[in-house]
Amino acid sequence: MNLTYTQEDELFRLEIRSWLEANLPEGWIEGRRNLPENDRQRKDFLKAWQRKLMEGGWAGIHWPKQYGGRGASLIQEVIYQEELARVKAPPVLNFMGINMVGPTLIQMGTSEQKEKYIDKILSGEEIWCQGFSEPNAGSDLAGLQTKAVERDGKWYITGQKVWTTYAHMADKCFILARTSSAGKRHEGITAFLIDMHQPGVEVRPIYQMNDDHDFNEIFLQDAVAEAADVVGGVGMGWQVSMALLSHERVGVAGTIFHLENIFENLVQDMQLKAANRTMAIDNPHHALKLAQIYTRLRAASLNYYRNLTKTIDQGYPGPEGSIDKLVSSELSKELTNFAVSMQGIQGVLWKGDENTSVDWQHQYLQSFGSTIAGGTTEILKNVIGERILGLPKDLK
Amino acid sequence: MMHFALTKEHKLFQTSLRKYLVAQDKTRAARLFITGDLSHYEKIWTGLAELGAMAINIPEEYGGAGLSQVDLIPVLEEVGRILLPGVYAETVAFATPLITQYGTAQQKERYLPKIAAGEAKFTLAIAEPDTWSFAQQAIQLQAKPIGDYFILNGTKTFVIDGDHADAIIVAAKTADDAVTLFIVDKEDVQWSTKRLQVVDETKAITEVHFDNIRLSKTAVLGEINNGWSIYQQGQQSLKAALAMISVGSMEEIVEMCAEYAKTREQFGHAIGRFQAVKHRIVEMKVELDLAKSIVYYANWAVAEQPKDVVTAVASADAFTKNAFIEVAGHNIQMHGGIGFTTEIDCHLFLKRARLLESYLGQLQDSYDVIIKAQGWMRNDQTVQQSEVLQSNNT
Repeated sequence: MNLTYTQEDELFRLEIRSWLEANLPEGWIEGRRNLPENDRQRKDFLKAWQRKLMEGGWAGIHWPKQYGGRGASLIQEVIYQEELARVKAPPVLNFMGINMVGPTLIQMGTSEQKEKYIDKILSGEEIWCQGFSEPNAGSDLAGLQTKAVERDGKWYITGQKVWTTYAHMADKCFILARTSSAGKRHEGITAFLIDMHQPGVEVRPIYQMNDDHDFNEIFLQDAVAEAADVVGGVGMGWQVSMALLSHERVGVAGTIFHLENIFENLVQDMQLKAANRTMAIDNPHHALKLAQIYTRLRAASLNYYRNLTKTIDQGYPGPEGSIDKLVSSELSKELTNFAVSMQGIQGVLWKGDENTSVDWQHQYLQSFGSTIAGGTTEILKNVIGERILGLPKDLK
Repeated sequence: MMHFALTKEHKLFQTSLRKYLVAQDKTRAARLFITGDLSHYEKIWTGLAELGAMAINIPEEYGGAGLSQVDLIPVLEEVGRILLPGVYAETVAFATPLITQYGTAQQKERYLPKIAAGEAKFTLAIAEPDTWSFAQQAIQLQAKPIGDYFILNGTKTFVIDGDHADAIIVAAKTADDAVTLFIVDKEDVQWSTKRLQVVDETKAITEVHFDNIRLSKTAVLGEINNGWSIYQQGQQSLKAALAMISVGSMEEIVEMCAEYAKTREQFGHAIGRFQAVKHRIVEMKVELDLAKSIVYYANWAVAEQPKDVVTAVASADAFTKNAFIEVAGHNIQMHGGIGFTTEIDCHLFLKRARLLESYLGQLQDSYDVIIKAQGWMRNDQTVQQSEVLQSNNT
């Protein structure tokens, strides 16, 4: 049993750490970490950061070297996540392209697709989004109804997608559409690569309870996809999307490291003084709650590493990743809930009027999305019960 | 290289242990213990010794394998699965490391080979009937020095197997603010015991009375008046071991529960098909996996002594004590009516979980250790006095 990193990996860590220190925007590490409010400016800011990462050799590090990556190992990918979380680095705008679409095209794309798309993914020249969920197909994705019909060698896609992250900033979309209603539901699905800047595509932002609008609806009316932009073959969409999702190797590393990070902020913020009031850190009820959160966070982090070991040993991620996702998302709710509560009445302030080192109120509201997106708590419990414990599937 | 898992050798050893204990009919030893029949427990103790389970962390020159706390994990998990009665953890994870590190050559020669051979059961005597506390301040039983001897006169309580252990490591007061540990050996002295009535009848919990017994100076373990810091070292490895045993018990519970949910049918279906049941068992599995990870780390930390070992053990202790009770409770619920009876094992696991909850200290004590080690509540006296090793540990 070994919980240390190799010297090679520690050098890797130093490399990314010093690059970040040298290349993050001015004042970022010290705490000036506001993204521009305006959509246009925000997109420019994030695209510029994406480009910088690529130029530094720090985008798509797990991609094979021949495609511009470093061929990084799983441990190195985890270290990368850890270091980005450590400095609360700006989000990677093209995470969909870099983590999902790119590796999928590398794995099963045609040479034409690889040539057309891969380079621009890494540089962030083309930003990608994922068109999967629909208003009537969320947890039950196989029920999707967006239709694609073939006419004169092209495909025409009509329907509606929802929960598409960064669609308002995206240039391309990896989209699932129904090409057949015969047979089982998931057999008639096809994956397409489409252009977002075409007349048949309209994007509308979804206003979220945490005041962000990263999610969007996409309305498609005869949106065009070229025949050459079918991925994996007509009717293979379900398998292709499973393959796409399986490229996410590091699981919830980012979430775990982020929680460990903001836990430190929580301790810090609990030492803010107020007249006639004990510091929160000296309040026995609060200290106990803090110790309990600390304990569960340690358990979650160690469990992540234990599952990571299993992934490395067997060469692919197993269903235990669902446990990590379940635990970390629920824990983010518990932690941020407490962070809001311990501020007393100041816990209602936000958008700069709060007196804390982290935007707790914003993070707390965001945590409600984390137990829903990417597999709801309820779906995950079914997955864990059926795939890990072997319990029978639900009554249908 | 990061490898947070048992080795192949550990797993092979664990498989053979499990095979052996399944052949011994698993919880049969615990069930017979309740009736007063200790023979099956004794048989398993000997059987485990024959498999090498008593010798793992004993130095090679005393007949052991010379390995560490981490290498105890396979045995700890397996004895947890069968709710083994008695003092396996107290012997291998308290007596062995303390005698190895602090024992005189005479003590090491006298005890370590015997432990390795399965011929010595050790237990500890800390709490006293007046206060029922495992804290240093609660120790009033004195060991009075008279010439070359110490006289021990008084009573300890909550001594597991006090009535048939071969030796008891006793914490007694030898100065105003100081404690000394003594190895009290039944080959040298006698003591009387009173068996307490406890909810978990698979363990013998006793009051032990020492009636002016005479202990030679050679019975002192470590330095006179420095017993408490030695005790804390032993407590560290013992707590990590007990948590690992509890994880083994939780593992057995989750398997038992999932198996029941797959076979018990109502309304024309296995009850595991219903989400309320399915999801509850999943929640149990989640707590099990989290406990396993934090306790693996605690045992690794006891062996490797990283900076955060104190917090590692305290957090593993608190998490597991709580999780074991929760999971054992849900297990009863998932079994429905039959889970409420003594016909199946569910109740045994719950009762064991409750016994362990406050053994060697309450949940709050472990949280206090974490709070203090992390530097929170600096102004609070109770926390600052909470017992954490005075070293550069965090």
